[in-house]
Amino acid sequence: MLTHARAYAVIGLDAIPIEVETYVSEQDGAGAFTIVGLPDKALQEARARIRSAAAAAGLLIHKAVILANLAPAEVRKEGAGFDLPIALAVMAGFGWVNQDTLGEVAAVGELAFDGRLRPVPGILSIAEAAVRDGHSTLLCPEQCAHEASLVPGCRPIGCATLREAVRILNGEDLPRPVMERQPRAVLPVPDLVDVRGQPSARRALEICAAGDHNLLLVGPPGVGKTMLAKRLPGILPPLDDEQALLATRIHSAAGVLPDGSGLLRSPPFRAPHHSATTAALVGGGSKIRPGEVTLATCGVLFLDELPEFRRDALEALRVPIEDGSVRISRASGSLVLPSRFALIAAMNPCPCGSPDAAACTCSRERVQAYQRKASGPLLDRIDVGVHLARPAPEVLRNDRPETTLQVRERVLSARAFQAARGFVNGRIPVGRLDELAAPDEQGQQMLDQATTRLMLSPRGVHRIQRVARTIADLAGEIEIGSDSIAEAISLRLGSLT
Amino acid sequence: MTVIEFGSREYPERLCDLANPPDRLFVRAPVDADRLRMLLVPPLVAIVGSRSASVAGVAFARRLAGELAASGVGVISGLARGIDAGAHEGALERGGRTVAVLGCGIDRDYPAATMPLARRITTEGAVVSEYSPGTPPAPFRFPERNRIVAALADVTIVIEAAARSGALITARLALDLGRDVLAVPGAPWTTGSAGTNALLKDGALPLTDTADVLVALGIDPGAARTDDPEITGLAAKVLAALRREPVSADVLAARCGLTPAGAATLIVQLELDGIVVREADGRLVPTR
Repeated sequence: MLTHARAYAVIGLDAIPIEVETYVSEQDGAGAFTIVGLPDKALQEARARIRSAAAAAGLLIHKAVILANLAPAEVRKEGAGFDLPIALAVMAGFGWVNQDTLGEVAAVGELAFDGRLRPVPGILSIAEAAVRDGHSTLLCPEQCAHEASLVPGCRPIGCATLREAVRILNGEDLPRPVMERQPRAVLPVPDLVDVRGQPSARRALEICAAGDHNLLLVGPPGVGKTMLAKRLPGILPPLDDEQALLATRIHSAAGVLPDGSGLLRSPPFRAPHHSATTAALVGGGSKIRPGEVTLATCGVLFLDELPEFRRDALEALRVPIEDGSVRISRASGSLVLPSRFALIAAMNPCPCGSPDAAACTCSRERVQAYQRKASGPLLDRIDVGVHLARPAPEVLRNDRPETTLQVRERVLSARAFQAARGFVNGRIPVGRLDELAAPDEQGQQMLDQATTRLMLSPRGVHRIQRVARTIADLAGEIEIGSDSIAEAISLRLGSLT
Repeated sequence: MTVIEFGSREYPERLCDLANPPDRLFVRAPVDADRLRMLLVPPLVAIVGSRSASVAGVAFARRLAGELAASGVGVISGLARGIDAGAHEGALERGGRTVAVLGCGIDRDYPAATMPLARRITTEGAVVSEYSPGTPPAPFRFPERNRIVAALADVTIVIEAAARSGALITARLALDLGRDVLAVPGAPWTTGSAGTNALLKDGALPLTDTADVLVALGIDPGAARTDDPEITGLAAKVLAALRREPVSADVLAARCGLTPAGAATLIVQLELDGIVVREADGRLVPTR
């Protein structure tokens, strides 16, 4: 008997519909179970899981000849999420499940030998695709139901076991209500008020948050670079609905969505270690997975110890930063993933990382090579640079840090000006700078003076214009005056930019 | 390219003071012999020093060269990064005369770090060398080149030189020629000034402002003293705070009671006026 079920394959952030067709013959009696349609290893092993889970449900299928086909055949299918739809189609082949009912739902989930359903990544993408295709009902592991319910229009049915799924489809059990899963204790976002003794670095962070500028922090170990970076998500505007769904979908597809987290509402913070490979940073690998640049989308990518990153990895970051999207090409296909994030990088002034310049033992050449490695690939992508030093006692005494909430208030109002102009300042195209970020007369004078005096490149001038626009927005000023220009000029690194 | 042979009418007379004058001088086009002659009219100073000088040292070289240029003094140097580059730039900034003497062929793009500057000097000043085109840079050629730098100038100025700097060779060659040497004193705990301090002990003239050079050249410094605009108000307070020791912008803001934004604005203004420079680690240093 021929039966079918609706499944989805997650490719990148999207899911595409997969038709599961099964042929079951109880007469042949040879007990062969074959899956065709470009399955990967995990999917091949579904046969064992399905047989065992069916047995646990009291349904013996091991004597029958079973053929399962996953169409379209040219799409590579990966993972254990196909266990449930294949199992249900097989059940339908035996007449244990009503084929008409099965035809109305989409199904996803991994089976355990005892018949329990295990959660799989990418539920959000699958739920979105199912709703788009007119399948509002999604049969899924109960742990995934809450995530699927985040998609407007999706009615997930969470099941604990294969048996329960069969009973619900047959109308013998009522679907249980989707339980909001208890989020794991949410770590409080660290507050900016904790960063004492670094007033200008805090100010630079605020400017970057307000205008979506990339930031480079240079300073010896222990002065608070990482502390600052971790506080950037807190002062960024919270995600709107669209961003929240996108960020959640990305984390879901990568299988890193914390259990029961629901929609991600605060900007993600990603801090890959400097030993990360290019594939880990930009995405890819034999099985295409979103990389750190995609996971940081709508949030922050923090690269600590910037010069320690592999050169090819840094090179590979250029395009994602510039374009806001990254194309990953592999033998199995190519796809485009989003990569729009705020970049914040940190480095020591020299490779030995000594606390002050006097104790440094590095040769000039080594320091230069170290700095060049950081500045080479990414220099022109960084708008704002700031030096951090060990806070002097008088700075600590006089410092009055503001809270994250106070700073975010200003960031939000600065962002409102930018929304009205249609561009965040960090992304104003060069061609529109003179229209959207032209300094007033005195500002222009100062910018001209700086251009000759500091030998600024045209790109350096554009960078200053963008940052000055943000500084003026933070102050609620329409015109970009010389004070804004001057402060923007100060936010550069003498040796690097 | 112009070639000036030893013994020709255009050959710089002062080079004949050398025990081993160069056989010929190659001058990078478009400068011709007549133009070079004008560039080499006295008064001339050689400004030399460390390649890895502090930012403040380079800024001082730049300002000094600029003020000398404004008083009609030409600047000779070696186009290296650091002090040399600062001196050339300062002179060009004020529309002054400057000549770069290379330790390799004039067709070589060396050193790479000063290429943009080299292009400016090629047209606005002159780039010369005793080595035929194609000669690669080599360590042993730089001291040899230094004798030309010293011989062309009336006095030689050394700004920041460590104990074994090439600039000290230039100074010694100048002394051998009977020319005056001026050296900028440095604090004894900065290794970057060990060489200049040693020169001072050996009798070099101390140099702390432009007037010292003008006096050594026999020019009345009175006319040139009006160069610095008077600094008043908050800027003066900031400058006073920096004079004690170089500090970061945060410390400066704390000492002067400024907000980070306020301090940044003021500092940039001082930077653009050339009164303050930023060291590689972000600390601020006054240049005067």
